[in-house]
Amino acid sequence: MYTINANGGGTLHPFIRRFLFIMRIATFLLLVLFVQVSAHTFGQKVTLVTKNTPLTEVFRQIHAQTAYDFVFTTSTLSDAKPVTLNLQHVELADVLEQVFASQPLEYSVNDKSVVVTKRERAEGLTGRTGLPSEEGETYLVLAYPEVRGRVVDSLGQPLEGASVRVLNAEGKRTTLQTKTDNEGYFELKNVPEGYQLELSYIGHVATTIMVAADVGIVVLKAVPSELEEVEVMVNTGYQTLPKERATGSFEVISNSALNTLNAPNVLQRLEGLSSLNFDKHPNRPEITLRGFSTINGPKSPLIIVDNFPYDGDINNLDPSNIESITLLKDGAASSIWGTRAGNGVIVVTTKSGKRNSPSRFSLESNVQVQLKPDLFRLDLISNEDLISVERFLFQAGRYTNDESSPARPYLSPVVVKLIQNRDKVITDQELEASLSALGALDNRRQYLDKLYRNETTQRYALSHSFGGANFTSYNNLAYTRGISDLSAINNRLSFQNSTNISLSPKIDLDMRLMYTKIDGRSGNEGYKNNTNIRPYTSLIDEMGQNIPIALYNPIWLQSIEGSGLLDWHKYPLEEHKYSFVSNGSDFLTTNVRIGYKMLDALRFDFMYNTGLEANRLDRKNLAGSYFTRDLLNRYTVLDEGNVQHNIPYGDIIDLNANRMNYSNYRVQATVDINGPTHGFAGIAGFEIRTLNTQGTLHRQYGVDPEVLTVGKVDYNRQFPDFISGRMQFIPFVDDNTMKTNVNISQFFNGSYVYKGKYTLSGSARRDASNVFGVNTNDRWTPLWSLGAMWNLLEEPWINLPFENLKLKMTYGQSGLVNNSRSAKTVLNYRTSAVTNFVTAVPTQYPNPELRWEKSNMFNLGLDFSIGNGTVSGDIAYYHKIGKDLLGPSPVDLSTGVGTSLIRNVASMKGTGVDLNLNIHFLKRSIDWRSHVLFSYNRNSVTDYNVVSTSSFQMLSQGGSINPIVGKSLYGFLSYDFRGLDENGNPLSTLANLPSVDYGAIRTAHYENLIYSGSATPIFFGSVGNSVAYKSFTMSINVQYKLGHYFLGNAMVYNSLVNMDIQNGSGLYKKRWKEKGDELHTDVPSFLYPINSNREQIYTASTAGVERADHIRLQFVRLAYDVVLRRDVESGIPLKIFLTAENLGIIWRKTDSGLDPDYGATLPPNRRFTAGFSIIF
Amino acid sequence: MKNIFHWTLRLILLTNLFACNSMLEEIPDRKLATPNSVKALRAMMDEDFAINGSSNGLGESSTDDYYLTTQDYEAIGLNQRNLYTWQSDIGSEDAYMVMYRKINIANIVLESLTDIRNATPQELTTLKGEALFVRANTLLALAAVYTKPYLEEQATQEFGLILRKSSDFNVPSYRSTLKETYDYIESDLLEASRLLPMESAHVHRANRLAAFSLMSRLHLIKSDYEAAERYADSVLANRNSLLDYNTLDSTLRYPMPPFNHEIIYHTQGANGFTFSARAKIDTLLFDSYAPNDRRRTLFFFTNTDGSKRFKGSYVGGEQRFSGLALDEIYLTKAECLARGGKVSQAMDTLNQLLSKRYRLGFTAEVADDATEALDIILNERRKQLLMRDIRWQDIKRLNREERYRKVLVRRIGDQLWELKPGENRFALPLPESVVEITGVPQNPT
Repeated sequence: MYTINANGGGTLHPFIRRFLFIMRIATFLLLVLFVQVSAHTFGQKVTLVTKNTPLTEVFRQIHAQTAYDFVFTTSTLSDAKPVTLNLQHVELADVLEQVFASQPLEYSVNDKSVVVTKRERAEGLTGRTGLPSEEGETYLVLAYPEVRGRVVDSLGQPLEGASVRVLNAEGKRTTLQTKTDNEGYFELKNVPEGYQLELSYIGHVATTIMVAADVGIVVLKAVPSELEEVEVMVNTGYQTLPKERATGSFEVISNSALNTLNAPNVLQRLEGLSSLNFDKHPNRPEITLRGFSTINGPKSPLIIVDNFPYDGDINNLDPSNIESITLLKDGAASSIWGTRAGNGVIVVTTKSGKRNSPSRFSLESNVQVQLKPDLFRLDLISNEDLISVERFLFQAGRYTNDESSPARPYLSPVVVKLIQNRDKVITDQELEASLSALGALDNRRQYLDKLYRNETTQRYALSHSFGGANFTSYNNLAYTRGISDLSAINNRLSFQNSTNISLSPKIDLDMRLMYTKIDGRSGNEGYKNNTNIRPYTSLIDEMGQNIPIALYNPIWLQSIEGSGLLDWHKYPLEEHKYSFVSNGSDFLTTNVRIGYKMLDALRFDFMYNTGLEANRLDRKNLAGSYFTRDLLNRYTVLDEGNVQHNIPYGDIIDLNANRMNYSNYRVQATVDINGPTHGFAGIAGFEIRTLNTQGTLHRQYGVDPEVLTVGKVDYNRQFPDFISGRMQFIPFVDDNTMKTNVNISQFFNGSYVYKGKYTLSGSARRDASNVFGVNTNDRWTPLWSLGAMWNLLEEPWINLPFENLKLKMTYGQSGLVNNSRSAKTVLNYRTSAVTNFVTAVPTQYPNPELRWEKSNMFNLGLDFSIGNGTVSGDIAYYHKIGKDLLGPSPVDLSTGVGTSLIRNVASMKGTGVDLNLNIHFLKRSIDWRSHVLFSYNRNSVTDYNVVSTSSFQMLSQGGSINPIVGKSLYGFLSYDFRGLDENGNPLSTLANLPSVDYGAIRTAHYENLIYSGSATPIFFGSVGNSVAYKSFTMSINVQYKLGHYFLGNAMVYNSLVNMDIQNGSGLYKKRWKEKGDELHTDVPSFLYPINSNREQIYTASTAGVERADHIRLQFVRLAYDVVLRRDVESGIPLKIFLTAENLGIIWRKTDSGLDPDYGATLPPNRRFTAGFSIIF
Repeated sequence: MKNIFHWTLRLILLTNLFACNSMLEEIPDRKLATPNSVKALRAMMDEDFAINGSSNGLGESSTDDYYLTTQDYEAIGLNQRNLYTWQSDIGSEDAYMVMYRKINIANIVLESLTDIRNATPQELTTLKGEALFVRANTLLALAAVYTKPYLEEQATQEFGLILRKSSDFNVPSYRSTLKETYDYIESDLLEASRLLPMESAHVHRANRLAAFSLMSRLHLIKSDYEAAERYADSVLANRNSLLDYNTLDSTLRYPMPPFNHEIIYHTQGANGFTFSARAKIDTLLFDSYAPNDRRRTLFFFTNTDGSKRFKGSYVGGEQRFSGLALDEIYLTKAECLARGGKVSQAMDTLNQLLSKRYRLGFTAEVADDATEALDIILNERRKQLLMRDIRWQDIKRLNREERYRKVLVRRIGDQLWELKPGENRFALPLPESVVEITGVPQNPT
């Protein structure tokens, strides 16, 4: 017996409550839609009152009421009898039965056509000899009663399941179509004369031929490039619809395009093949779609995987699992995804099997090699110069404090020699000899030889797909093994299953399961020229022995040698053995969808998605690591020969475990009604998502790796620091986190089509989330969009040589909710290391005045196709307005809430054009296609609540938001640089006059600054060309970014003095040294002590701003397609390819020699991929 | 079929939508909380960085206890150089902000107390007392830096501090008069001293003695010696556990034990910009420590160039101690006694302190008259309370008296800067952004 609510008390179990809640919403939607639906489905009825009416007139009446076409030849109807009937509101099928009851004719209903034939089988090409109807009826056309043919591939293999579509005289698709059988044969009946046949097959080039009784054998060539011509379906994550019905602006990246590049990360494969802009600047968003919509909020697009926002790591997805990616670009497209979609949406769809398809295995494998970075491309100060700078600084007393400092800071080998020389420990000759020996060494060679290697990635994927009449199945097993240039290891094993079962004609079940296992280990420490290892410090001696490197004052280290401490030196070549991070994660996600097709036009889906990600990140500092030896030494007390370790000897291990689990429920009703004049497609639904993350961090001291025992430390006592003597606690890092996100959304999206010409669409959505401290009524955010589309070719008065021409317009509002919209003070807890008390500090202050950000986008697009698909594509213009954008606003320091508060401070606008063009130049034995992507994006701040007017507060160097109204969000606002004066000082301007009054320039009104331009490209895109000859295809992709600026190298003397040797310090050689140098150099003289104002005026001046316009050879790919085993019916397609990436810059505007995408950092080296894929 | 469907619909429609809102009430991050419990308020008051740390070091940086070498002067930033030479443009935004942050936290606690349930009256009064104390203590430290010396007759005309009496940042700031500032501090302290318990679990938490000590300091600044002495007495009547410097090891890098029993209330701050490594102790001042004075070795560390550096912070580390300790109370009491003409009592009080500072067998200080006693006591006050955030206020206070006036001098190479008694520059400039945003008058230079 089941007992309902056994625990009494009147409260329902949370699950039951939630279930009832979902059901309630579902039924509400049902009710709303049910009313509309009933009006349409029973509308397919015919009223027919005739009295001795000619059959053709009867057809005309039925056609007018149902839009069913009648296909026949005049001779067919030669024996037809007039019809007398009185039918009121009768089903079409019944009507037809009665109409044909007394006729010597047969009929068959094929889609929306009624094909009429004589009852006895017609022979020969009767239609050819027929005469045009005397009545001149437009739908009485000459027709071939039968059309036969066979479709094969270029090797003569039959193509099973190829589409054969009948095109009318204008080249538009009619409803007549069929598919080839397993021998490649097809047969069509009653095809009007003058019509064409369009033959297409996935992976092959579609061909159009004139209709004939026997069209013979048609050879379809395999698609030479990876750009397949399949019907483009747009998946918004809520619904999949043909692109031709969507009013919004979408971009679909097909499976083959996704396989052009073989990066292990899905999103990386979109570079150069989509209108996403990839930005390499560390302080700007990595991937943007149509520029920015927000100034201070998150700027990255929302990622949807299989209908749900993806909260896992995108690296969990193996690219071989991805079927396609759709970018939702405009307001209408993104407003369906609500408050997280203001920056556009990337919808990822994973693969699934196809109905009625044979069992197929697909195996792919590739190896990728990226050459190790060329450290010698870093423009660093030479070691001779560096040593001379250190000598100079030593004389100037730069190291006097360090020498006697009780903190025992690092002294470089040069400084040590100089001290020894000063203290007469070594002679002048010995000093010079040792310094010149150091100057001759550059440890970059050692780094490259000993610590770097070529980065390699191996990928393998095996998949199987199969489909019967009522089910499909797809399985994929993929393995990736990567070893980075610093020997970090990253392995990924993933398995995916996707099953679809039709339980009944009305109910289908879709199940997906994905499991990913990732494990890795960190590698070597890379070359950094800002650590205490000077570029002239040798890591290894001639005998191959590691040289100990001191990170404290070496003289002091020497003085405490033999006192019982652990070795206090670092060995960079060995460090990775003792100090590393090992990580692992298990990711399991399942999707279940149950669809109930209540009526032809109405279906309900219940979707459930749950995922679990367990991450483990263990930071291991073994007893031999520098970290552990250093910490142990610092907590050691030497007491008259007794060595007391307050931290036990052994490994120090930080165990960091995180668990994330999420679940999504969605109930959705889908309506799809296709009437002759009215069509409606819509979805409405309700969604609840919860995301929970929990984390634990725990440190173990003194671990013995052999027996796994853990040492005990006293966290409650303070111990003296060995160096400073300061009493301090043993570092305690343990912590817990627990976060929960709840989002609830209601959504509606619908489109209405009138006569296939005009489409109107609209969407509405409201979202709520559990933002902390916000009143419930303030949680809901409403979003909406409207759109319209005009199919120009459906207009009788438009006669243009296009196959496709559609004008689209949308306007939508999306938004961004800021989580700091708290109505209460929010505290963050921690435990004090000093008192061990639980402490809390305010992290957010109540600001009831905050409003959520709004982003409105207007989009005008045109889809076109001309010349039988020779040129096709779409172009869209958009205009964005961002209002109430949140940003830090300076605040009165006396309020004690910090220097700035998040307020609605700004507005911005953005304008742009996206062009996506496919050109098929040559279709002969050489097949040449181009894919051109062009984007124009200009954004500017239209309002910014600026409080400060001082120049130095307003500088922006591309990495921060420029607050100047009318200028780009990311831009260069710098001091004017007018070369050097005769004393080697940088000249700037004050009130348009040359000046060296740096203090005044620094605090002058910001109008004194120079705005150079945008830091993000104004024009960007790519041109991909692929040329195929026989089985070879060569693809070349060129990427361009134009109209922007980047920050080049600058001589930063302050860094040099602090020995934080930066890229660009090679300019030191070109510095001003004596009068006259100002004529041929822009590098100021070296002054010590550093005048910080002079330094800032120079480093933040236009001197470092360079034009970033450039054209880059993104990749070159060579592929060879063959079919093995021709004797086998299906053949075994094999593809072999070779890709080269990062091939360099073809043209750049700057003459600095730098890569504008990477500025002063090192660009990645060349990358090569070789691989194959085979289907069997 | 259709009937069943409709029937089900109606049934489900009857159930209420109540799950939704409760789901949205879920706390997004367990680390987040609002100040709605005793635990939260207690935790806010226990914030060691925000409440007990980061005290403003601008006053200490302005004193005559240390000097910079030309080399070090040239190596520091422009703002720091300006601060050293009492110029404007000292870029003190952070130093100012961290102090007002304490006041803001105290205000949040004070405002939240009324909403707390499930708390004992004892917990609530203690928290209220602590918050009032923190606000008063912070304001008094700020007054030392940003206002001119307190003179009763001019206090209604001089600029005081911006007093933030509520945590609402939308309330505009204005400058109070100097008198309003001191009156406000005094009223906070009076209430705090009634609310606070005699003992607290840690010197990071204020107790009644801390309130008395601060009251004593406040009255000393206001030249109300009688009151200052009374409060000092109240402290000493309850506690007189001086640290015996003879028990300390001067070879240690930081010989002073942290949280030692001489400390009444602990606050600390960085040593004022980069001065810690560069600030060399005034040679005359160092020489004034007698050879048998334990402080000569406990307080100082000899640099390689022979100059002296301070190491005697009660923090027991690199940071400057800016809290309240018994030594100050002894010195205040002695000063007040001397000013009241009670010479022998004054010297007794001083000698009680000094006996714990000198090597065993030291000869007690004697004075013939009140003036001599005061001379000795003020000299000892400077020596004992070195780098304790007290000297700057003392200079300002003592400049009111002919006998103790002093012209401060900075010398770098041939350049010379002077700060004479009564100059405007004793009130350091408010951060420019505060003046820019609020429109309050800047301190004149």
